[in-house]
Amino acid sequence: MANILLTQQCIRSCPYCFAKQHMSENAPDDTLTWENLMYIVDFFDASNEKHFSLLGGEPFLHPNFIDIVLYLRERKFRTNVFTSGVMSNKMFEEAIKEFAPITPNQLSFVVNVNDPKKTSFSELETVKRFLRAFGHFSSLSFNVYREDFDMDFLVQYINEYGLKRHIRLGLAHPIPGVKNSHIKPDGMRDMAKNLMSFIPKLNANKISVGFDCGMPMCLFTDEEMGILYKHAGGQLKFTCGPAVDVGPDMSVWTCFPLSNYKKTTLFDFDNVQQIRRYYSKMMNAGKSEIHGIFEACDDCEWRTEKLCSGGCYAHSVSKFHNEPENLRKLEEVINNE
Amino acid sequence: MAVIIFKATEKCNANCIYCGVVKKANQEVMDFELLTDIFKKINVYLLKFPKEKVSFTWHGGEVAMLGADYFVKAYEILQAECPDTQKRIEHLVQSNMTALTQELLDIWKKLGMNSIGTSFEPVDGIRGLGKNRDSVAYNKRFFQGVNLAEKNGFKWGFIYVVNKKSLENPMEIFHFLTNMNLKSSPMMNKMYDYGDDETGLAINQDEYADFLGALFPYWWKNRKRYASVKPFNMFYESIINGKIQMGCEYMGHCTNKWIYIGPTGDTAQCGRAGDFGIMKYPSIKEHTLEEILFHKDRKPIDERQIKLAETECKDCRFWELCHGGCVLDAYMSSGNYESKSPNCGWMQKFLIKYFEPVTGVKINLYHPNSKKRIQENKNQKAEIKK
Amino acid sequence: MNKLKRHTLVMNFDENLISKFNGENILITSDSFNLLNRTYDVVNQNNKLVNVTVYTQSALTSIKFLENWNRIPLALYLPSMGSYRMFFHMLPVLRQMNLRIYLPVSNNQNIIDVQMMASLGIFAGIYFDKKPINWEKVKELAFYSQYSKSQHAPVEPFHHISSKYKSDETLDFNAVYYNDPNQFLHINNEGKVALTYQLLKEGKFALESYLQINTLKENEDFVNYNTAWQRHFLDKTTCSYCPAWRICMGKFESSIDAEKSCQQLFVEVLEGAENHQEKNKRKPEKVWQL
Repeated sequence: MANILLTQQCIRSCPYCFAKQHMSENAPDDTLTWENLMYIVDFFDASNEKHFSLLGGEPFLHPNFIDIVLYLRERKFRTNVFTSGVMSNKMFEEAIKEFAPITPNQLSFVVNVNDPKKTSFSELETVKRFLRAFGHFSSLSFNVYREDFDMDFLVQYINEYGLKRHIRLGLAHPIPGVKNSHIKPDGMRDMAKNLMSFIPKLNANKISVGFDCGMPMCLFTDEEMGILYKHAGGQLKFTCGPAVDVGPDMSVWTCFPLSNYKKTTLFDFDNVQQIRRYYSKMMNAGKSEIHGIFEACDDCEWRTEKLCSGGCYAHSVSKFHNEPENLRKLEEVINNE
Repeated sequence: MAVIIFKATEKCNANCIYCGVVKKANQEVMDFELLTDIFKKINVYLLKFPKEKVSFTWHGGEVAMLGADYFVKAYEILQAECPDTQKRIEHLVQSNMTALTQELLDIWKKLGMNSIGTSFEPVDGIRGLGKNRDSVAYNKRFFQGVNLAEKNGFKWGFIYVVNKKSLENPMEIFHFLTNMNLKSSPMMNKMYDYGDDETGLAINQDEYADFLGALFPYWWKNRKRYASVKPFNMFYESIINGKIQMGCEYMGHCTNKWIYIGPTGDTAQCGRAGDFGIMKYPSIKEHTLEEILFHKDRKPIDERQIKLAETECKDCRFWELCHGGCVLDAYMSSGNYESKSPNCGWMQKFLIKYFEPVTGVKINLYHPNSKKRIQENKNQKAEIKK
Repeated sequence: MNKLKRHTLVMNFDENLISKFNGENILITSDSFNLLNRTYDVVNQNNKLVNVTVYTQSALTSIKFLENWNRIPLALYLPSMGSYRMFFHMLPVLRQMNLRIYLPVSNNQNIIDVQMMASLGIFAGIYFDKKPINWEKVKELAFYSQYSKSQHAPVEPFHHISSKYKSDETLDFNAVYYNDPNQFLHINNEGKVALTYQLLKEGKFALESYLQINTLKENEDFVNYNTAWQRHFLDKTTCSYCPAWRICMGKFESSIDAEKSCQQLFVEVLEGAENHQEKNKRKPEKVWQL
């Protein structure tokens, strides 16, 4: 599903944030205009994709956020909103009132939550207020940036607020040229072990975990893979592919960690499929030139078989960021595609 | 079909700066006795050749100056003298539109006319009324004529004579002319110049080619909108669609088709020949129409075609578009009928410098018997086989 | 009275005047929403109601639409659309109406709002009030109207231009606003006939009575109106050289700027109209089937 950025503003300051650099380089009051929104909706409509995700920064900070959701509903779009759940009282009351007639198959929220032990009380209360009110619309998203992360609170939230019984687990990735918190390759095995320790509890609570892109397959032993397979009902993803993000200024990039890499504009394309093809081609060309996050990725059969991408593409590009000669060679390969 | 450029009068109410007829200052009007004789002879001709038709173009000067009564009388004569052949006589009319009346249009309708050929000039001071060439008054009356004609169901199309003033802003001229009448597009002709231009408005071959070249890319891009602008559509039909449709000057077969008849019964090869007093034939008073159409003095025109194809135009890849050009132009520039027209200069330049690059088409219209054409055809076949 | 079938007669709601017509196409103009139903019933008794056009200073979202208006063809000339929130709430009601909404082009927000309405299936358009125009924004709206691959309601006057354009005729899109005397005649309460709404307001009548409508073809004012375009060619105005002349005919002569922005807009609109024609030509013919 493609992502549309409504605003560059965010209330929080998460240590792993992969939108950090992008937001710092753009004006905070740069919000998606109505003209651009209508263009985007038409673009997707004509591409036969009547669904996308709304992002930010924090989408609820867009001054017309409610109206935008109402508009998308009238255009028969299914909207998914990535939010922190943190918002002003006024916005919250308005959302309660205006979203009342909307059904969960028209609108859904993916609430990105942080460990409560590392969150301020007021922020926590705001998030809980949101989950309480919109639980039936919402699922949780959690970004892992330390090996010793905790998932118990996620289970608690899902049970307490009646959320959808699924967790999107993201692995925080490095942003080329920026210092953000993320797990380094040599810490990933520990992270995987920690994750496996939570699987029994998740199973007992009938909560599934899905991986966001960039999780390397080799982090898990064969036995762990079997457990995960059963847990996820066979739906496991270890590949990294283009997401398609559209900024308020109509710029397009493949994913947030690579928001400054091969940026284009929506006006260069006729439809969404074209954008995906463009970035797939780019990434495939790049992947053929650089190995994944581990040295072993180069000769890995799973990578060759395209069952695993060898971790996040941004990891690899990030490495090259400080190697101008290799970066230049990579550019050449991509440009020749 | 025989084409008669019929000038019952060469009087004109206008004073167009480049007009050869105006310079003749001939005030004569054909009398009805001669008119009767002419229709009699047309009737004889058509009875002898049952499959033939005659295109009878009322020309001038300004035909409207004959007045409606003249045409009423002409109609009566036609009915009396051509009772069984009048259906094979197609009446056309060329007028400057400034002296039209309801009565004129009524009788023209009776003669079967439903369109008027005319001319227009956007730049002031080139066409106008009276000694001072009042263009403002002329144009006003022109549009009054247009309105009256259209009210009576007449269509109208016009020629634009490209001159020095046109070169200042070709695109503006183009848009002006094409905007004026959406039902019929202008025909952009070069101003005739036989070395006697006193106006300073005549343009040379290069200038005409460049004028057309300035317009062509725009025309090509929008050719559906401006489908019938000439000469572009003539080239388009001839080259792209393979249906040679160039004007009479370039068709190479005007020998026994055209005739000019003047107010006193004098004849010549065609309208322009009559205007400039060249290629004259005997008076229609003493001869039949057939005798004049097939006069022995016309033979050099046919022979010219054969000779040019063997000499000057032998290896020209634009032969079928041009056929050596107009015999009159050849005569006016060289004094004989056997040379090619100097006007091939503008055509070659236009086609090579503008038409071919813009369209991407390489023209191969050599004479059918030309060795080059045969070779080109062989080469093309070989390419296709590859 | 001889019927001129092709003319629509434009007038205020005056029962006495309307009763004089029979079998005519009648368009009623009004400045309020009172008597809409009465208008519908009275006009349709012996004539055909083309629409009721209401000119009002209320924004769209401040109008309270009644359910029984849905049988009345309505055109609204409004200063603005109003709040988006209210508009979205009103949509279910608006979609039941037989409705066209026109906003003045001089306000940039209106241009966006027209697109907004059209994207949600509401027939909308801009009208040209005599104030400065943001030509770039209008161009964007025209592009949307003519090229958007996503379905939307018509946007005037671009829809009219695209659908009525013929390559061998000029097109006067003033017909969208009932200001084409070849299609619309404006009648005052005394039965006098003016050629346009503006002329009616100014009290300049071409005919002293609607009973003279069958003489319209020879009427001097009518003839002059239809040949007024020739002035551009006599005076050699900038408009006479414009590539888009055929769909504009000099409407914006008095506001031509240095960049000839109106020309830029209408050249694109002309190309859009030609594309539309071309596409319609290529549609496959319907084949009879069991």
